Amino acid sequence: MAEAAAHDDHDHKPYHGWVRWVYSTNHKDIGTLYLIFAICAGIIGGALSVVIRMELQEPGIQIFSGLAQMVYGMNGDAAIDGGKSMYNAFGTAHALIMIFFMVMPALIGGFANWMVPIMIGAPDMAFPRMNNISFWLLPPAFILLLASMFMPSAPGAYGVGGGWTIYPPLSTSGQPGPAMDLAILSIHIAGASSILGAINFITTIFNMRAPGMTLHKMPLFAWSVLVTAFLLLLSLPVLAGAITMLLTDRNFGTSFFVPDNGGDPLLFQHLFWFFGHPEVYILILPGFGIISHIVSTFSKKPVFGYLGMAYAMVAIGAVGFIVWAHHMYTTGLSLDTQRYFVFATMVIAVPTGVKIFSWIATMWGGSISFKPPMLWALGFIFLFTIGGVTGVQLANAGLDRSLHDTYFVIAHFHYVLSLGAVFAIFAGWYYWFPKMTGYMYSPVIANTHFWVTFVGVNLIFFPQHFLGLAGMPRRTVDYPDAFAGWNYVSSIGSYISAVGVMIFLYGVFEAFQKKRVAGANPWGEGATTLEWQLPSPPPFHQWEQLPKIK
Amino acid sequence: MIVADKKLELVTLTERQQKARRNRSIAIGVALAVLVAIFYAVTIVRFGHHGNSITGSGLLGGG
Repeated sequence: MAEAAAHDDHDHKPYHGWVRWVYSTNHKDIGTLYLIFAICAGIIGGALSVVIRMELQEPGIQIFSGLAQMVYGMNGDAAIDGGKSMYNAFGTAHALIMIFFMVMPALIGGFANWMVPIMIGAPDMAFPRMNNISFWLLPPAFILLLASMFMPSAPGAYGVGGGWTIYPPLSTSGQPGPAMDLAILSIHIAGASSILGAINFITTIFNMRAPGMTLHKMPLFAWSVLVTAFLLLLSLPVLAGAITMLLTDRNFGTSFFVPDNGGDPLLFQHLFWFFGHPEVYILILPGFGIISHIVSTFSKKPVFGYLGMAYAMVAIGAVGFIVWAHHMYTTGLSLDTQRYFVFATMVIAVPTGVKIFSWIATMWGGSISFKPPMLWALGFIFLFTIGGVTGVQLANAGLDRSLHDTYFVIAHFHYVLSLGAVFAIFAGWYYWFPKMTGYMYSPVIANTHFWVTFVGVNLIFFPQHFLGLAGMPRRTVDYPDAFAGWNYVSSIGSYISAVGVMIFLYGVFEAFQKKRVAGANPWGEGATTLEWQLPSPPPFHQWEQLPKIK
Repeated sequence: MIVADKKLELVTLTERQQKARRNRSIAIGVALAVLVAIFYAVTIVRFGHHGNSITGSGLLGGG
């Protein structure tokens, strides 16, 4: 069967060498490009965070004034002030890189491009050329963002230092230099790339499914990508509108966010978070899909409550659009408004709980094998739940008064994103790596990668709850001595996590070097979706004859 | 999530079916692109003109 569906072995790739990759309209090639891009961006974004943790390892300013001296050629007090700005620029770049250039490209561009067409029985994406453009918009966007770090922003400072939220007036009159313009342009281009991708995925999933594959028979990963694509489609134009207004305020004398001329800086916050909150679900929902497949495969059971799982994602996506102002409790919202946003935010815990309990119910009574993808999936469920619990705490407007802009918030969103989304990415990597490459990695290296990362990231972020509760503010380069202990532990965790990344890269190298043949389905009877019916790696063109689903 | 079958039946789309599928894809894609353009325009036009009245209304602004 596999041979028949695989259109035999005539992998007639239209081009060879670099032309194959640059001109590629093949969803698997483009998925591979996205994954390679995400790995490169992740290494750069991760390196920025390690430098941040090196700085915060002890009170005082030790790294960044020297870095400002070295990179920007500043001296004396200017180097100290420049170093402080550089710290903020590193934090901003870390966030933007990890969100727009690592997690999104890996989950949506990488895994979804690779697996969604195969899983739904389609030969390719609906718009293969647009798929190529979606990818190739990303490198210039990334280069613009990196270039912004070397451009003037505020007087005596370089790089965008306003955080990923780029609130005015710090992003308008506060940083008049070109760094912010480059960053805005970068976000615009990355956003355009994601919108094109979203249109492609929605069309593909709605119109390219194999005969007999109704939406209610579609694999949960495809469901997760469908919901994610709708979130992208509805939220990114709002961000694009907001940053267009920001750009015209900065360069063309408009006053959308300038109070002196009748504008309102708070409007930007509303628009930003109308995008920004769905964005966090954009980052995590594809992970939910991946985890569902892995838990089911390695428990050798169908996923518990399939329809509940699918519609829980729909519910999370829908409710995710009406909770944005919980990021803005401290901006002077009316009490009634705060009450509404507290309630609406807490409602999200219900469909999220449905997912967590369904994963547990899937494992219950299953024949569980703790292979590397399952380890990462279990790590995801455990750590994401911790982040979810602190999210319910932060949903309370009263509690948020004291925790807003502290390290408690940093700990919370890293538990759901860094430890959640990134664990899901690694779970997906170890699950589909044999399928994508045809090679099996060393389970010993993969397990070592998991445990080193698990220890490292928990050492980084769990102590940050204590720092936040003690009142340590985020986005500061220095802190009182009282916070030194947990900051030291957190920094050690960062170095351990960096070792984890090295182990990951070595594991990839080792797998390609050893070339252990993975086979069509290395995971056995539990792996039931269509990708496991194809050889590993799948042929260049698959499903030229469509599978009929019963 | 009922998908894979060991004895997968394969079907080939006719030329006409393929063309119909392509046309449907284009229709869906264009509709979605129009939706994006509308959201983008509405964001700027609606909030650009009335932003202050919205955030100062007591609903989303101070109260």
